[in-house]
Amino acid sequence: MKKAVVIYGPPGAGKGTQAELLARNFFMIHFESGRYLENLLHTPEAKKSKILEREKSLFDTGKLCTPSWVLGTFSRVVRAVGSAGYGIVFSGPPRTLFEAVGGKRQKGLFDVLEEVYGKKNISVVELEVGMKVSGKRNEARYVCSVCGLPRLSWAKGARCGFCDGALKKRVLDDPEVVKKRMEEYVERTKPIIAEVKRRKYKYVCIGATKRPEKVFQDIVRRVQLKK
Amino acid sequence: MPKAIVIYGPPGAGKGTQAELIAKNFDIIHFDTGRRLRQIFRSPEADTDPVLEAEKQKSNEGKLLSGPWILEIVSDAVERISAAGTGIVLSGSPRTLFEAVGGDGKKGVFELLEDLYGKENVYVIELDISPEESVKRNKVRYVCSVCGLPKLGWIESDQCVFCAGPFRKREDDGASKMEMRIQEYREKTKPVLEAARERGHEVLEVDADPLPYEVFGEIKRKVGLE
Repeated sequence: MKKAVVIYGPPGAGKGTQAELLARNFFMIHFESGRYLENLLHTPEAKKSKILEREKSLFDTGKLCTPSWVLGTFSRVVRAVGSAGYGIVFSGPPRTLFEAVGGKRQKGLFDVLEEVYGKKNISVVELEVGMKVSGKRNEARYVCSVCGLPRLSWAKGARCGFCDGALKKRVLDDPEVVKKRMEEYVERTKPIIAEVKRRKYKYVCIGATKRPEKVFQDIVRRVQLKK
Repeated sequence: MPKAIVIYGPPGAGKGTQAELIAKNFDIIHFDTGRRLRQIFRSPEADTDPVLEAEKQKSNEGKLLSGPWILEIVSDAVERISAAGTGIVLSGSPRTLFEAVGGDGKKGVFELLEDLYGKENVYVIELDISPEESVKRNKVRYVCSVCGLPKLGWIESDQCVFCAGPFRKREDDGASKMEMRIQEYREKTKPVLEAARERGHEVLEVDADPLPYEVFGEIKRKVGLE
């Protein structure tokens, strides 16, 4: 049965890494929302659409894109991935309560996941790391400029271990920005987790200070994914 | 209009890597036939459905799977992915002439891609790797046992730089075995590429000796991905 996995965790918890591992080991697609929006808004077609042009100027100036547009875009992706026969992994969204449950005129991402995958196939994983580990990881964080994969802090070399692309630091990982992201994360995730519990989705908390492969084993076991 | 890209290349040319780079940078789904088969064989139905049971057994014994059955699986995926409005990149399929052009009343993968994406949006790529580079790459063939990422030449650690999983040697290693696989690739793929040309597709040759991201740049240029 196709599954949907939603991963939460503070900056540096390894959400993206775990999502990649799930996608590589199961028949799932890791939906990288930030990359997706960036790519979508920089296609040649984006120049022909007023809406996409508007969102592009918001995105490129570091402002938040219009929430209803973002939710609509993500919902379309979930439906497309589901109908293509794949499971889906999220490593960020739904980021706000609106994205999670929607509004008067729009279904939330959780509603769309239920519709596509069925309630019992949705799992929410919360990765837990202390402030110290999180801070340390963010300080040493480099990602590949070509494929976006992160590199572990102890790995040597200035190139990506997957495609040999040049590594870069993300603006998001500046210590001041990380501090703000951390506070924001706690504030906005609390009500979402409460909603997850109310809806009785499968919800597991997993310690994420261990090495990625060990954390991955825990996720597979606790979410009961069949290898 | 979404694109359909089919990548060919001998062992070690980096088909899977390039397919992933395409999927990561564009609205294109990577359909990996091997991964799909493993998923099917793991499902509970594989122990109850007689057809799946028989194919699973063949796979476990290292025997060739049924051509029409594989064609059905690949066709189903192509239909679903195109119906989702997304582009597709195939790495490793169609592998046989039967898969490529069909038979017994079944459409081959090329015809299906042409019908669903439009002939002008189907791209066939052949990654070309020099014998020296092939020998070099296949001498050190370690992959991570957890995430499957290959160990690039410059990596000194014995742990994966992505997930810290231990590297393992690929089972199909060994110089003579590798030669056999390259030979097999040539024999099987040549008629498939010939069939693609007969259908009017230009086979885009891409030099796969450079670093993965450089090869990716060349693919983007040749296919016109932006």
